[in-house]
Amino acid sequence: MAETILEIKNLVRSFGAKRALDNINLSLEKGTVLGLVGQNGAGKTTLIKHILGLLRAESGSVRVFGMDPVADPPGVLSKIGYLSEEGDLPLWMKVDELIRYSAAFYPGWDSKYAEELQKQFGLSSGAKLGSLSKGQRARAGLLIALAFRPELLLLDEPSSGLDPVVRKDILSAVIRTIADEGRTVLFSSHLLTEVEQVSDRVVMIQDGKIVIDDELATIKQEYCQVSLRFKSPQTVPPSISGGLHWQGDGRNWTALWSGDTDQLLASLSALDGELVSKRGVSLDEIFVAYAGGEKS
Amino acid sequence: MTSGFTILGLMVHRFRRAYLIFAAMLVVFVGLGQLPQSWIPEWAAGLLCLPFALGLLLTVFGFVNVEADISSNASAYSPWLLRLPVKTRELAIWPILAASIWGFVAWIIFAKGYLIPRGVQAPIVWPGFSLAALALSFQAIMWRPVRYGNVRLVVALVVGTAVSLFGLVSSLYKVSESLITLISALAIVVGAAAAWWSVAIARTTPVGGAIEPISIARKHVQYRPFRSPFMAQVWLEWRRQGRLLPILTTFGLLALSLPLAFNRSLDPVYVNSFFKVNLWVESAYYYIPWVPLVFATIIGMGAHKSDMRAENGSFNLFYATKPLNSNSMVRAKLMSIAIGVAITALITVGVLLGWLLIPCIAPSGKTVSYLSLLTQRFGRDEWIGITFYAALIICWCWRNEMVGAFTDYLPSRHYVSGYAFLIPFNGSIVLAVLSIPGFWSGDIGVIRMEIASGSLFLIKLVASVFSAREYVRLRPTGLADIRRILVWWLGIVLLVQGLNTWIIAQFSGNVTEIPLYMKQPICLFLTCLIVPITRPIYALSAIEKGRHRV
Repeated sequence: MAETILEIKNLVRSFGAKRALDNINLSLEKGTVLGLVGQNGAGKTTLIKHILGLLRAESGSVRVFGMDPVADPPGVLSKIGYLSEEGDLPLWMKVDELIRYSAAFYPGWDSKYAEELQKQFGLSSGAKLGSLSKGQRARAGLLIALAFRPELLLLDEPSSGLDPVVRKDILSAVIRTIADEGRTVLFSSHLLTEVEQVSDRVVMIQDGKIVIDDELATIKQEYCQVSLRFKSPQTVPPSISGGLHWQGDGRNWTALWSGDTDQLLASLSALDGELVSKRGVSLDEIFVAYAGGEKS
Repeated sequence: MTSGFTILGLMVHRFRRAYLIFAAMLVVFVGLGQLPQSWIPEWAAGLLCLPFALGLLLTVFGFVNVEADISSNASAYSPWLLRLPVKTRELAIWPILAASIWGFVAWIIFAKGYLIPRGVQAPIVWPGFSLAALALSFQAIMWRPVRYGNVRLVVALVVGTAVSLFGLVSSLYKVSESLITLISALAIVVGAAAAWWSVAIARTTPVGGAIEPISIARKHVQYRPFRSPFMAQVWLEWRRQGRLLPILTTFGLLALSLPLAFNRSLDPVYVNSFFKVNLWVESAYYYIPWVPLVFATIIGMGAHKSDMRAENGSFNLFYATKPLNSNSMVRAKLMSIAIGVAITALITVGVLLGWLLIPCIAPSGKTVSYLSLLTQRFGRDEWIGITFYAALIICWCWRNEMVGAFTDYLPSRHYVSGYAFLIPFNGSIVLAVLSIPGFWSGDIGVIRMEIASGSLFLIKLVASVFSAREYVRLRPTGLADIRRILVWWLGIVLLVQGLNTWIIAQFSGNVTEIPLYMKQPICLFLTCLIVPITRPIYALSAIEKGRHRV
């Protein structure tokens, strides 16, 4: 059995009256690439901040490498490579100063790899971070997140607002990290095509709750888009279990659907309807369905 | 006109209550000015000027942007105000008028309503003009996006000091009031034009009003790696704060030494007999050791890089995610400050020696150094005094920088702004109490000293225990750190208190024979310096609250 890197149990977090995380249970095994998706404000960053120990759990527990990240920040943080969308690097530092400063904290810092990444990203040693473009700063952040070959790579919306070339760099870095045996990645992003390319497991958060947590292949197998036709016009979305994000009017309706096909056909015949077509869906479509639709 | 009020309203919105409180305070001052003089003792009347001064500074600088980072290269003019669909003229003129009129009128009310009725011969017009010129010059400096934030810091310090001291120094040198007023009025015109220009530049500079520094091609230097994470953190703190003191002190001492380049003439002074000395050396060398202290205090109050905290008050993610514990973070900061103070002490001693080696002419016509002239004046007590004085200033510099350093970790910008005003206010009260005439004389003065220093010690002990309890609640494993700090602190406090008591006891019955550097106010002053060094406990609690938010 693979080693568990992350174990979150019954995690609850509120900000005033708003419940940002509602009884979250999540575990992550070594070598997994987990895509964390959800709308803005769904709770992704709050969850990541708990993993980094930047927020104390209101109730429940968070264990990373078996340790409490609040109780032992050096123990946990020395194994995590972290890159966020916030662009929080100290702008007064030069690239070589950033590398020198960061290298001191990680015993596994690989200077050769750092040099290689610096070259690949075109980061000039004497350049001040404040004078770099947003994309170049993201690359500098990626360099220090990767150069010590972290056991857990934590990326919080790393591609947000960046051009396709930088996004490609980030993605290749994730793929390269995966190629390193035993590395684990938690990748939070809005860009679901990217998540789809690299993740082998996807967790979707909606209003602080986990609504989907499964292998990507299973999710894609489980969900499909169905087009239905009814003999008589329907004024409200049809009441068929497993349907999500109903769209249509009158006799023709479409929905994202998960469940047993025989059960769908039985429900349809009861409503005097027929299955016109059924096709596979992308993660993007599942996301939109959850974000914008009501589960019937 | 309406847009003017809207701009001003938006600019000072966060401090709107401060303006109301300050206006109410002015009314109270006018009322106090009407009371018979004997009702308020002189020292208390003087003490009451402090809330006025602090309120005046806060409200006038509200029209600049009190919360801006002086060492940043971005414009301090709010970016979203810059984007308002109004003319640059309107964005500039209203805050310029508001800052100058508010400062001028507040001074007139205070001087006419409170100071003059109490018999103080206060000038009316030029201080108001000086204040307006100070506000406008800060608007010009702070609103202008710059290439190098540190240069702005130095310019602000130099211009601020020059504008603040110009009227005061000129009046001491008996320059006519009308001339001081005229020059201050000119400074207002120049300041207003410069502030207007700064807004125009800020508006046309992209990305939050910051100008990118020019990158200078340089030879690639291969740095040696740091020995440990702690040393890397010491380096970081050195870059953020530690090195500022030696840099600023060097600038300050160079400025103070500038007159030596222009005035090399020797004039007679009497030291047992007539010597010919450089008058600038004779009159200004006392001030040299105080230069680092002034800068240490300014840095300690927040004039250093403030990127440790994000906008929402939590730790900046880059720093928060470094695998380092709170204790090492605080120790690194204290060490970097100590290194900065040690280097500054060497620079200051070097400059002072340079001054004192300037030749002067003895009555015999022989050329001797000023140092040898001084040594003739000094006896044993003076040398002990000088040693004490040097040690005191070094400790004081470290202490003043250190006690303000914990604000970097406070999980709120409001606390930090409040701290910058609270500390000088608090310090001024202590200094005012120390200077009450006759308060320390005789044996009763000894008892008063013991009570005063004991109270300070107790207040700080209670605050520290409260803060330590909070820290241990958030980090139970941190008990050992707290114990260590408390034991050190208690040890030092008890040592100083014991020393004070012993010194006083040695001279009991013959208080007049106590040398100056051992008198009760000095002993209490030492206690005031020692007592606040429990701040590492506050820093630890602040890190816990900001880095691992509840």
